[in-house]
Amino acid sequence: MIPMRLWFRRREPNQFSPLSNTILNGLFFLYAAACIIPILIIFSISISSEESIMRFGYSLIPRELSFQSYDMLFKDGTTIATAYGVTLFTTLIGMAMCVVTVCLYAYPLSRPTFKFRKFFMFFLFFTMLFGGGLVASFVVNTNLLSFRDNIWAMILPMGFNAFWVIVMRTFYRTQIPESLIESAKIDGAGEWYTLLRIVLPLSLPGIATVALFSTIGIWNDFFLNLLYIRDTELYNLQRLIQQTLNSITMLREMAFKIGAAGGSIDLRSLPNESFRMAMCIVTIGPIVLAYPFFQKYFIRGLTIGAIKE
Amino acid sequence: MRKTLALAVATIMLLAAIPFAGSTADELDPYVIEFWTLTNGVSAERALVEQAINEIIQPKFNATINITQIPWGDWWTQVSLLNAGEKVDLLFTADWWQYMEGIANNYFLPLNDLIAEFAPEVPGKLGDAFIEGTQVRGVNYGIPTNKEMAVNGGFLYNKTLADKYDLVPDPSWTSYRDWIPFLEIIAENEPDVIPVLADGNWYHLNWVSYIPGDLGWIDMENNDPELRFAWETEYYIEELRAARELYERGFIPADAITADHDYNNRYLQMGDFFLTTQPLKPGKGKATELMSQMITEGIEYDELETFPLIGTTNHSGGSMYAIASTSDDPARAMMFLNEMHTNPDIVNLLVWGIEGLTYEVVQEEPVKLVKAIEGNGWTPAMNGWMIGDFFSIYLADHEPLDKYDLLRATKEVPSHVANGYRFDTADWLDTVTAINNALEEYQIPLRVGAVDVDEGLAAIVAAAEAAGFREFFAAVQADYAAWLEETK
Repeated sequence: MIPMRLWFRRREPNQFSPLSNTILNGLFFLYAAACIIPILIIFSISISSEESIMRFGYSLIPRELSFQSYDMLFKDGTTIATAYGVTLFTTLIGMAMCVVTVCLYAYPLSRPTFKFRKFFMFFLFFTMLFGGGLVASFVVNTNLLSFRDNIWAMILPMGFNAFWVIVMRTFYRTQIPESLIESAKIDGAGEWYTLLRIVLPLSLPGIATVALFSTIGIWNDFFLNLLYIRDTELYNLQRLIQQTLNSITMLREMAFKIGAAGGSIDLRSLPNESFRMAMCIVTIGPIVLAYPFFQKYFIRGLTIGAIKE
Repeated sequence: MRKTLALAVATIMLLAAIPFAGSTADELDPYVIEFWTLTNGVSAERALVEQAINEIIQPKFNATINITQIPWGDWWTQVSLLNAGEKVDLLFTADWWQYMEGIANNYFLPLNDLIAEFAPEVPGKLGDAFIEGTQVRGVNYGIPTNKEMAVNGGFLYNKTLADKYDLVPDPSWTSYRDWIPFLEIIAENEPDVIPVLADGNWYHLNWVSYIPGDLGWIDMENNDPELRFAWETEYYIEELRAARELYERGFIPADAITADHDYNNRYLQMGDFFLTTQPLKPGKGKATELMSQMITEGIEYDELETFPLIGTTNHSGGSMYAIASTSDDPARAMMFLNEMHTNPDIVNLLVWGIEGLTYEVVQEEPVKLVKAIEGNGWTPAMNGWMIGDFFSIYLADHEPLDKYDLLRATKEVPSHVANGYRFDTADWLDTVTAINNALEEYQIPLRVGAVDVDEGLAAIVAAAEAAGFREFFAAVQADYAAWLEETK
């Protein structure tokens, strides 16, 4: 209980009243719980034995512990272990590529002294408004570029992004004062030196934003994989999950017709529940660590800098 | 896109024109057959299976195979790539898996000439009912799997519980209602068991619509040329009332209305139910199959068939392989298809995989029995009933030895007068979708008995009519009458 006198005490100007403080804290607590409890349940299912799930249903604390699903997940040569490798590789390489190309494209666009600024801006912007469509890009990518069953099919299309170039250009414009670049020039810095030693270190928050979003974008992408990859060794994690869940939905709809045609599906052929949940847990693993990792750049970016305007 | 297609067609015609004089392996250029199969998952053993198949087919017609396992959920995205000229040689199709749509989209090649030239034995092995039953206007676009010609349905019940209370069902039973005395006993004495497992699908009525293409609500009785709307036929309404009674008395649990694939599998694998409806197989084949997939041990299932077998379009076209229109060498594709129907080694490689890696032999003589190796990825992913000659697949050790004799006997059953009739829904796709959506809302609640029958029926018929059912139905009736005139 909150002592009565606290309700009427004069408070500091920025202090909450104990009542609203309790309510706000309570609301955020509930909100946080609503986010975390489903994940805990998924985790709990993933470490329950399949039989106990069937017998007792879901529970927050597993009734019968079993790490069988994780065993199966990481058994040598299984598709999930390979899919993990594919996802990690494409994410890291794709993210690095995206950061480099976006930073390098955006920088000249942000400099008023660059002569072909308008042309390159249009060149970029045009692609945001008009695309060739799916079939055209598919034909070009498979027939001309041999993207079919090629790991670069998942990296190259993600290696550049027009929207982030505009974001990054705006960031350079607003965060890097022109006077700073001028003073670097007066001190004898060349273009490369200015970019690498002056501009980029000051742009860490912007770079971190691009890196974070491209990491999440590539990590969560299954469409490119769906389109260009049929070799199961090049499946990525999202594709595998999407494919598993899709198949289960599809089989549910088709069950009657399959039976009518004299077919039948082995009940054990689809991943069981604890296996599916283990798959989810495994996929969210590294990506939840991405945000805290990039966060330090956001904070540091706000506090460092040569000029305070 | 059109250009690519035109180019593909031109290539095909050019290739088809080249005569295969005494076609031995040396004279043929190496060729990779792109084989698309519909699987329950993807397997790490694929490359080894391909290698083993190549060792057989390379000396014969200098081709190698590239198997693409496409899971159920990915199929339509992948198949739509055919529009962009994606090269495929062989792909799965079935009447319940958009055979007609595939033909309308020009995904498949006509096979009649190719069969005559490169797979002459196959039609004889399959029989007329299969060949004619899969034709569209006299053209075969797919070769059906050589399996049972007719499928039965009925009740599947828990024999362990039935024996416990000395319950012996009468073979003449056809309705839920007949089971009520047994259900009363089960409900009273077995509180942990649900009396009726229901998910809104019925397999115990003469349930197979004879017209493929998502038209499960057009209904005919045996050899009756008249078409009816299932939701207005008497026996159907009578069964809805029976389901309603079961639901009201608590025999069908209330959560049946939200039952999904997992829900059903859970009970089938645990065995804690008494009665359900299932598609059946001759010789208690379905019960045997389900028992082998159970988690709980020591529970037995038994079957009760509820209607006579009859061959219909849905059965003859229940599982087929087609040659894709983007194939560069349809002749070679047909040669492989021929192998699938005549070479047991190929069939077993595709279904069982590799001995010692994905399956082991339990006994060689007198009948070869095999067993899948626990944890292998190949056998659970592949579906034997999709692949070529079903009868040459090795029996699993839990299956009855006379399984294939019983299935073969179904080829002798009479064909329905409508066998081979397919309504081309191409011009009616929107209507069919609208009708299906309208029915969707009410059919599961009605079939599990969760809503009042009269109200539900009035609603479902009104919804179907609003979606354009009457006009569509008249068109089907006219088309069917014309077809009967033409063929009979």
